Amino acid sequence: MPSSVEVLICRCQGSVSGEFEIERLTKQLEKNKRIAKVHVLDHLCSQEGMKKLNQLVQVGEDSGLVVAACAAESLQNLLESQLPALNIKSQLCSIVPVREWVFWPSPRPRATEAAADMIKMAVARVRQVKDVGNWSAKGAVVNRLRCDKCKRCMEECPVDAYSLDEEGYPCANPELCQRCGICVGSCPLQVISLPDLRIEELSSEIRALKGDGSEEPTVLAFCCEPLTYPALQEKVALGMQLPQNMRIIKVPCMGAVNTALISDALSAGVDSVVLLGCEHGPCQQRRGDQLTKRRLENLKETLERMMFEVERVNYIGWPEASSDGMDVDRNICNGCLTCKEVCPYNAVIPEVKAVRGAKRIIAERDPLACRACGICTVACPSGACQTYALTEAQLLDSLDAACSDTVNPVPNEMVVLCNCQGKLSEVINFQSMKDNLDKQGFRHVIEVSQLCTPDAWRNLAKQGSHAALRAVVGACGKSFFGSRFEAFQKEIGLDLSYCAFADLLEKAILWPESPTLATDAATWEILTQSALLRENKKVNGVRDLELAGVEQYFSSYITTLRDLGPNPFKEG
Amino acid sequence: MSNSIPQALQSVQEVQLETDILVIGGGNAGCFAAIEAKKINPDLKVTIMEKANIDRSGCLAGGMDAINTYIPEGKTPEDLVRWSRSQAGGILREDLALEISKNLNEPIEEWERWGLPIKKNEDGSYKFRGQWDIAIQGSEMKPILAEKTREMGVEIINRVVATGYLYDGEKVVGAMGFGVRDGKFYVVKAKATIMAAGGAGGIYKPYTNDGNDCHHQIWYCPFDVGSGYALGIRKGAEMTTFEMRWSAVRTKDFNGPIDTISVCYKTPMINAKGEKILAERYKEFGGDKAPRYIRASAPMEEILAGRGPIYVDTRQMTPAQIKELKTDYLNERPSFVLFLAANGQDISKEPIEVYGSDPYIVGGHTASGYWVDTDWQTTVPGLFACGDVAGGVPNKFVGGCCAEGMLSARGAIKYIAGIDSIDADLSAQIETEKARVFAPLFSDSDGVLPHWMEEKMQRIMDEYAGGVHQFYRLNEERLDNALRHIRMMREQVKYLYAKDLHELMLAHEVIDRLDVAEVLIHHLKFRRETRWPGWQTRMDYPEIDPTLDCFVNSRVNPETGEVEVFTRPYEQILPGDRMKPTL
Amino acid sequence: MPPKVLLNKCDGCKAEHEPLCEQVCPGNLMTLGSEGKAICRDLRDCWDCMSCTKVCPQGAIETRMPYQIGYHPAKLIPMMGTNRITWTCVDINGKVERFIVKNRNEEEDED
Repeated sequence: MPSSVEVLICRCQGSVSGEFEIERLTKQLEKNKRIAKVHVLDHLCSQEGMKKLNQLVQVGEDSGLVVAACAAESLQNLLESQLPALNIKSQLCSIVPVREWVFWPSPRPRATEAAADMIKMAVARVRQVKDVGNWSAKGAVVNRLRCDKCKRCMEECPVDAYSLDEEGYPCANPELCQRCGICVGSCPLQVISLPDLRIEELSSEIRALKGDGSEEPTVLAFCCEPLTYPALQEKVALGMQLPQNMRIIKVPCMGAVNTALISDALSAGVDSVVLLGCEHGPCQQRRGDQLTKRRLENLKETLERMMFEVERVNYIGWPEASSDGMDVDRNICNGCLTCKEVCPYNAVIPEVKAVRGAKRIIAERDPLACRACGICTVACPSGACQTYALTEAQLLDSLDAACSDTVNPVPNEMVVLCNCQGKLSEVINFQSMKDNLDKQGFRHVIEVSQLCTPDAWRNLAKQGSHAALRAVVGACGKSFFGSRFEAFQKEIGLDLSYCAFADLLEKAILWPESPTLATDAATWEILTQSALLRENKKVNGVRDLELAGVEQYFSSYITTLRDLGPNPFKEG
Repeated sequence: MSNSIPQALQSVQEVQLETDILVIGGGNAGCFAAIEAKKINPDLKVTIMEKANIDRSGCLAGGMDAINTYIPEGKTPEDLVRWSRSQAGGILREDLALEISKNLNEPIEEWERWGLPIKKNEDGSYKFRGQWDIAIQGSEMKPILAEKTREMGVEIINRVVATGYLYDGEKVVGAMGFGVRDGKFYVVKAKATIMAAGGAGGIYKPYTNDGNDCHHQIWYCPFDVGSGYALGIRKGAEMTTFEMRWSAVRTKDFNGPIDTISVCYKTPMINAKGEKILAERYKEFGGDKAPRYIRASAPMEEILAGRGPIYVDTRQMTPAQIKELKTDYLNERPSFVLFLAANGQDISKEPIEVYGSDPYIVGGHTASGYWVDTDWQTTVPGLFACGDVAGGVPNKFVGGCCAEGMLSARGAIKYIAGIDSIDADLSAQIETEKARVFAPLFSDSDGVLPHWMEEKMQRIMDEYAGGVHQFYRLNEERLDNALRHIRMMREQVKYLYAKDLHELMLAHEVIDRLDVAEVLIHHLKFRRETRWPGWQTRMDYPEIDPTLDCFVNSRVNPETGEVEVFTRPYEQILPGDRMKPTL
Repeated sequence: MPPKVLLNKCDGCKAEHEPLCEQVCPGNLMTLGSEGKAICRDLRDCWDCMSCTKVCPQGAIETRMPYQIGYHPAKLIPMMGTNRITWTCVDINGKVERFIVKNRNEEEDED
């Protein structure tokens, strides 16, 4: 257990701090006895920011650090590499993406309190980290002192990683274990943990959830790492409004959520627990959704007997997940089953289905087996097999863009490049990129310095007064894209559907030592995105629908919760 | 399980084990004994033989809401012993009690470090609910202790019922038993053996038992049947003070603990007329602080006098107190909360009815058990005792039993220092015991079911040996009657039939209780006086006899098989009036 | 008639050698029935200690008061959390009471 925990807040160059009262937040956090110190700095992801971090945070071997910043993967990578120098174990460092979950797409009411709530949750979790000697463990570890050999972990492990040791205790083979956490969720005595998934830590985090002090119902959402967490993040970046008091905890799979944790949340007064998982997802953590649903059914039955509103616990299968992978258009499929022949995963099942009143053989996807490789899409003679998330047209365009030397941009297509206050131009040669784009026929290439600030957008609006219809934005991280866009959409006159994003930071990180390679990669990324834009309309249409769907779901769910009133456990 | 039932005596598989210290019974005393032994010498092999599973065995299976003996700051072990002595009517082994009291706080503080939540005041000190008892949240205290026991490297054999000691001449060198799940016969040789099993419940018929689903609706753990005593009785170990039976005021029908209500929330016990019984009728005994046997018998006397029913008056309690009271019960006997709900009882409006429990022989509360020396060695070399089976020290409760576990382990370690190995030829006694143990499995199925004999024994004891239906009243003639029947039943155990291993366990639970019951009757007959009204009410000798101000002990004569009863003098160490809690 | 096994929920701990209730029962009363579901051998011998009810991973066991000493249909249901139990008690008149008890020490919550 860490002796102390420090908190570091990244102001994100003003884009975060502009929306809440950083001093009030700092003061609020400093009141918490668990927090030793609160630091504030700018743009942590920059070299300057990292330098500052090294000066500010000087803690002992067993201290914890909670960083309130953005969800950018790049930041995580950068931070991870700095931890040894800071003398902090990576298990004792937690990043809270307050930018995404609190300030995007537009600042919510009581943002300061919400940020404080999230930070306190993270601190509560870090406080529980115990050096149980398994930090370096590769897979799941069973605490043999409390294990009673019920073997449910063995039973539910999707990859059969478990075997019995000589004393009869289940033991996960680290070579086979995929760290999906399903055993962690299955254990009736809560004695299994992964190096970064310990029930005591999560429980402590959950019980710290207090909400922002408003009347809005509190919602604990578990999101899975491979699918719903990034998907939700993207939705938020695209402008979706999360319920005001929703707090998100990332787990490897819904199957990793032990019902004890749901019980913890409900008994701590949290108004609702939502498990955002897949729906027969093609995920490698097989059966996670099914196991979880079964566990929830049991729990709900118990809750019912407890005279407790079962609506407060919900499994939501992410809409996209159900169709991720191969999708057969029934109206076009001629039942030739070429897809079945070519499929390397045996993921096609012939089914008799009624189509337009007649019974016909249709290829169906086995959601568990399909790996979305796209081979069937290419082979299908009738064009009925579409691989979701990458339609055939998109696929071809993307190939086109990659193969051709020249791209013909649509007239008035704009490229906006952000050099991130010069931090990106340390690696990427912006001039050379602009020259290149000019050669490809892009006539409106604009370089800005701090695209993430409102001022930059206003300037951009002035420059883009020719009312561009399309734009590719190249900037520092994908999760950034969209949020500002919505807010300033009108000022620039761009439609969200006609905009693509190129992650320049990613390229800069890939080739930090070679500006030439990084610049080429960045340029190529912009060209690809531009090519993709042409067929983008359909994709964006789908996205909008889902976006609306999820958002609507949440808003009607919140209405239900408001009607239910506060969690009955709050009183006692 | 059906395939693990042996079909013939010859096909019974044998498991041979050897260990340095064998602990029989993995309740809290046994676990603390094992942990202490491993602490003193981690190289020792320490084995626990447990009838159930140490995660949930013994009295603490359901949990506990208080540690009834903990020495607060400013008080001394001597203070506690004086209080305990007066509560027990002046009879107690002062040497042992002092030693326990000196070691009382340590195991509890350790338990807290291992995870047991203890209620605290705002300043962080333990929250006392009475003079000596601290409030805890012990619903999982047993799993916490079990976890620590495993961590210390103690070998644990769960689901093995101990049936007899192994002996080499005078010495005990381990124990035998059978696996209630695997049907195997276990022979565990040990340099020293610590008996840490539970006291004896289910010797008397509980009033809740009307031959139906309430059979085990008793206060004490019904799975603790005094086998620990029985093993010793059969090997001629000296037993003490069985006649000091433990019966207490319990919640009516549920037979649940009452200190939680009366001590913790200072609720008075009232009769049907609303009179505060203890304060008004037992002033000379100290009112609400009267000795435990007085408090136990008072409501029953009231009922006899026609002033029942008796209640603890919860009507003055605040809603917050009631909530906390129920929470305490959830930590100790959760089903009591269910009982109140099943009677639709709002205790802020209706008081809780109370009644006397059936009597138990339980050394954690009274002084019944093995006569031990200051190393907790019994009169049989190599055999140590602690917890509910160790005699001489009443009012040990959970804390005292933990401390006694530690002390007995220290004694055992001292004892084994000179022992290299056990070389005696034990084969003959192993064969005899094996045949005795498995006999009910192979006897005529047209025989006697364990339940029948259990119910008969309970009724006989209730009616003739002062059970709750007789308001604990005894006389010589009734006791003789009880003795005659118990002896007949002991003759009849050869007809016991068990169809499976579970019933085999039930059969031995009856056999063991019969042995305890016979000794108990002898003790009750010997003490021709009434020293502890309620616990031991001799209608034919209603006064205290000063010549019996001593310990009544017994031993089965190995030659004759007869129970011989004799006395041991009282040795007073702490000066002062033994009936007074303070100097 | 304690304990009542809810057959639609009990999965016999997936037919492992001993279901959890069988493992913990201090009276050796719980066992696996021929249907692969947990059963109590002898209701009369139960002490109502609720160990099985608390340990059941499926929430498939309910402890009931024997009718001889309590009326129908009261309920007391534990929901096991991390180091705490959330109890709900429903009396025969439908009155609901809830309790949260901590059962293991841990880092204290502070604000």
